[in-house]
Amino acid sequence: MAQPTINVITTKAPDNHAPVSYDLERFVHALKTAGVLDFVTGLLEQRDSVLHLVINEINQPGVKMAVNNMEQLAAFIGTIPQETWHVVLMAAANGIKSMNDPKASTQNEGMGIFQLLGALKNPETARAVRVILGFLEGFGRAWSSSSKTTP
Amino acid sequence: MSQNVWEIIIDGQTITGHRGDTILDVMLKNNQDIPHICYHPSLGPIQTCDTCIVETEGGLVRACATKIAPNMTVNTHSAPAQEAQAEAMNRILHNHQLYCTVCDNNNGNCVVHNTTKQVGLVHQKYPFERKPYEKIDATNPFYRYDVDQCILCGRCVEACQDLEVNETLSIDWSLERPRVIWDDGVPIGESSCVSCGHCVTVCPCNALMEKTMLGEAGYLTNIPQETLEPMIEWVEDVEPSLPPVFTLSDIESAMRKSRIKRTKTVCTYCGVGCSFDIWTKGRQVLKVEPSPEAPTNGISTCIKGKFGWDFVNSPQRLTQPLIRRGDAFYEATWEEAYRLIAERMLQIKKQHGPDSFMFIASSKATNEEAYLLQKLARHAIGTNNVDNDSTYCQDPATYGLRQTVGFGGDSGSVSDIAQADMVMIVGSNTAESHPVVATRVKRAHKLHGQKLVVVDIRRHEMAERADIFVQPNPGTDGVWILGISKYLIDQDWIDHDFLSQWVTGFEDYKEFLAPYSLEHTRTITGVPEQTTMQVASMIHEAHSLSILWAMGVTQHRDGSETSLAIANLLLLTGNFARPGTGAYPLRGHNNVQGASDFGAKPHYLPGYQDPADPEVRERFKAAWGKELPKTRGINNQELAGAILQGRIKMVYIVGEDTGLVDANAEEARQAFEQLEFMVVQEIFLTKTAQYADVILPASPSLEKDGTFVNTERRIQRIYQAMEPLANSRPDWIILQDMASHLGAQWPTYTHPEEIMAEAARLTPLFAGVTYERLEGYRSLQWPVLEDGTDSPLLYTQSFHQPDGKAHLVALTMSGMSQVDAKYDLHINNGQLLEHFHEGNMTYQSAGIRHVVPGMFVEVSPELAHERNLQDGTMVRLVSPTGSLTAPVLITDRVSGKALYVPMNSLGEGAVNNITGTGIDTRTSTPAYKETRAYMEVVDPQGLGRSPLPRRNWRFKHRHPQRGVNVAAKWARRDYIPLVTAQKHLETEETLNGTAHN
Repeated sequence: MAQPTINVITTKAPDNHAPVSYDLERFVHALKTAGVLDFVTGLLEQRDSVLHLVINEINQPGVKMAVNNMEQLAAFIGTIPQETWHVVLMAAANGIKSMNDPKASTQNEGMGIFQLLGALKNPETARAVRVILGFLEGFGRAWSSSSKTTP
Repeated sequence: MSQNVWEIIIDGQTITGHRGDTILDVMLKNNQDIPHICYHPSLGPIQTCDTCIVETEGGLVRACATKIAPNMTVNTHSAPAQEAQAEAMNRILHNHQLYCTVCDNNNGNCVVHNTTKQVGLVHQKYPFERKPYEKIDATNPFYRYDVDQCILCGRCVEACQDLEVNETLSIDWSLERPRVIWDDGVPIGESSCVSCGHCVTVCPCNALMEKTMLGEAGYLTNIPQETLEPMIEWVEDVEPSLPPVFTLSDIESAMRKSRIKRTKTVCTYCGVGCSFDIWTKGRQVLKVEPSPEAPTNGISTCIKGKFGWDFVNSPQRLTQPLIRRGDAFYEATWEEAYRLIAERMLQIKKQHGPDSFMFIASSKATNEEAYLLQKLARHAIGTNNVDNDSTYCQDPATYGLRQTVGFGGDSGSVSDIAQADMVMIVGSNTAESHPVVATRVKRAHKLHGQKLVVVDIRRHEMAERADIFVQPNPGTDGVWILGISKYLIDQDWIDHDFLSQWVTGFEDYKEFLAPYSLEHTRTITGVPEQTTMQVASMIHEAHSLSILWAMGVTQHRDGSETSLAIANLLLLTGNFARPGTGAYPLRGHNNVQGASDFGAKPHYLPGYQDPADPEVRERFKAAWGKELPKTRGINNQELAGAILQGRIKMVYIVGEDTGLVDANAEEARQAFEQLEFMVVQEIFLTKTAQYADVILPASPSLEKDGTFVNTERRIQRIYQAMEPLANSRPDWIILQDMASHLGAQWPTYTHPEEIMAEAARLTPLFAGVTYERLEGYRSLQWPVLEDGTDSPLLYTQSFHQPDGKAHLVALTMSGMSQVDAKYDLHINNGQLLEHFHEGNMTYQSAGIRHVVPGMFVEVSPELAHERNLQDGTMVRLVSPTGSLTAPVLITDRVSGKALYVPMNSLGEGAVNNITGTGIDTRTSTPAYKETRAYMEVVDPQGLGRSPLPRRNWRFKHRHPQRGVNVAAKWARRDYIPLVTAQKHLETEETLNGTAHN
């Protein structure tokens, strides 16, 4: 003959947590030994304020411009065919080597126009000049069309 | 090729479409997609965004709104079309800041994100510009609006105005920067918004978001705003082009699949049976996401289904079996509980016999669980004493329909109600008790000229909208139906062909109706003759009539008789077996239909099979290995008396708060105190559970698999979204374990699918039901043949009677119970929109409590004036059976001496403390609606304020308009449409009428 009741006597629930795995224990111990655990814990617990500080710091015009420029640089490098780039780098390396030749690097006298023209008779020098002229033409063309579309 | 099937050429490919299709319709049906934002399949074309522009012979047109013509040529990729799409997208992004990676709406289904990608924008042409308003409106407890993210597509307005038809939202196009407003520009929490969730569901971006999603859906979305804003600014400045940013956000979106589970389920609240996906993160409910493919509701929901799931994780949930010792419950193991129960049950059975038990099934548990409970009663114990709470509500309607047309369920689908020429609603507060059904009626009435007649004693929302509102005297609507039936016969406005071919008993019925002249009807009901004649004329002119009814009819002594009268009226006028016609008794609980269908009734086996039928008995004996009990069992209404008379010694209740819902609830509680043993299987420590000897913690719908049957006879699957909480278990597992402990030798069911398979083998009504046929959003409406053919519309071949014909059945009206004249007030009762019944589940939601903190008694202004009452006055209502105390709410929804008490009280205000002992003459359904009482003022000052907060929508006014009023947008000089085709240039017709489905 039951009277209504809302009294519920609960027993403390047994600790049903699954035992921490051995590997996880080892990992945490290793972090602690390396002195990293405290650092990571602090970083995670203070995530919001740390992030706020980082964002404030990087949200500066100079930083943003640098990141943007880096992106564009990466995009630029991605447009150059690999073989061409290889040749350019090889040629630059060879040029730097030639630069260090005492014949080129130790003479201090000026050069007259006829000496310059004489240098152009060297087929390798002429080839380099032609390559540079080709580069200048393409550079100038792109610069010119970019100027037209810029508001 | 038929006249209505046309070929058109889209991007060089010939595709077939139908007359009346738009270009976008044809493309989507053929799995071709073009950008589109404001268009939604459930809303139709809205024409605000212009992202769907395509090129035709005539120029640029909107694909969403342009009807196809034979041999039309469409180009979606031409330069002009793509330029227009890009321009439209750019204009949208001027209103919306893209920060997808840190946005809670980045779940793969963000329309703005996906369409921006689809259009192929690389750079935004117009930088995002904030709007000059307070950014966030978070005054609604369930969702928030971020005005800065709003793209003004108008979907929310369209959904609110023309789908939910609550008519709260609009866009103020007159502002310099237009914005969405609630009512005339009040905070959401102070508006007429009913928190149905439609606007949030259709929002194509994160402007409208469920609060439960904020900071929870994404990996990076819970970053505080003061850090988030500079982060977003940093990304915009560093990477102004969109594709890389989208890649990052797509990665983050893909990662969310590992933390967010999307599970299809069916709402656990009312009998409409809305289905949707529920998104969970572990046990956390993130949101309810309805889908156009949901067969009953599409994208529609109400406050409870969309936002009322807090109860699942309530700290009040029962998590451990409890055994009573003295005046306290002590935690026990499952094995201890089972052994105790089995021991006591076998003892009682030996001492007092099987019929000393009573089993009550839950109308919230699944079909499989109802089946197992009645099997426990009949097979394990040997009694037919099993029932569910349909006895409290729709049994009279079931009776009325079985006598006339044969099946005791809705004769069609909600889609039939939507397409009817005329709908009559009798005794149903549909907008609050079956909100999504009401949306279909409201939409049809507003947009498609559906005629609406409401018959009720209370002026609720549907009554306010009705073309004719009939207010008969309490308990006389049955007489009014008879009066109108006689008038129709007298005018010869009946369907002779239908009657001669399909119906018997016309002459007898005509003779029976003779006394119900207009004058006699007016005398009894108080309804003017002119009104009755007007409604009859409307019925005569309507090609199709559907009648909806609910507790206002059935919870009376004449509930069955009035249901008979309604069915007879539909037969007289030929309104069965055709689309848009039929009888719709609206079922209350999510599975009260299923609980009866699957045999939890004292006089029916599964499928309404007769336990006395020899063939049926033989079939069950072969399957169960045991003879079925023969004696008809007792029902819920008879239980209290049977206990007090000493016939019932033990009660086993699953998911039913009998101690609160039984009429004369005080008697029910007194009876419980007399039992020798009581088991309650529940999710909360309810009023009823407080009397138990053993309480078993059960799992609600999100924690198990199974099926429900809704009011359309539609069987739908629910899928498990999360594990049972702590040590609770699904009811079907508990019942199976219980049977095993009783020595019942059942097969071992490893999944509810196997239980359904067994039930289907035994039940011709759903012989073809299998889980495979119910996968996902598929559903079956019984009867279901073995080959899986189901029955959305009943009686298309014949009526379900031995002779194949329907029967007109004469009836006997008894009138309302008579009580002493001192009980001078009529106490109507029912449920509110926000709380489901007593509120065991809905009170667990803080948001719902914010909107409706408690119950009250509605008193008319004239009675308040007469008795010197004000809002908040504490009154006691005293009836012959008991009393309740509640604060007064003065409202013109009631008139004269008719009061209204909602059911949502768990304490002193419980309405069933005063409902009486009258019952329906055929089915014993309690006559809850015939409660009479007198009033005492307990404390004139009382609460000192309205018991319903003034911010509640009931104190507000709606702002109806047709859709988003897009003509006002294009009339602005700063909004230049991108269409160029002459025929398509904006006209009133194009924009405001023909665009609607």
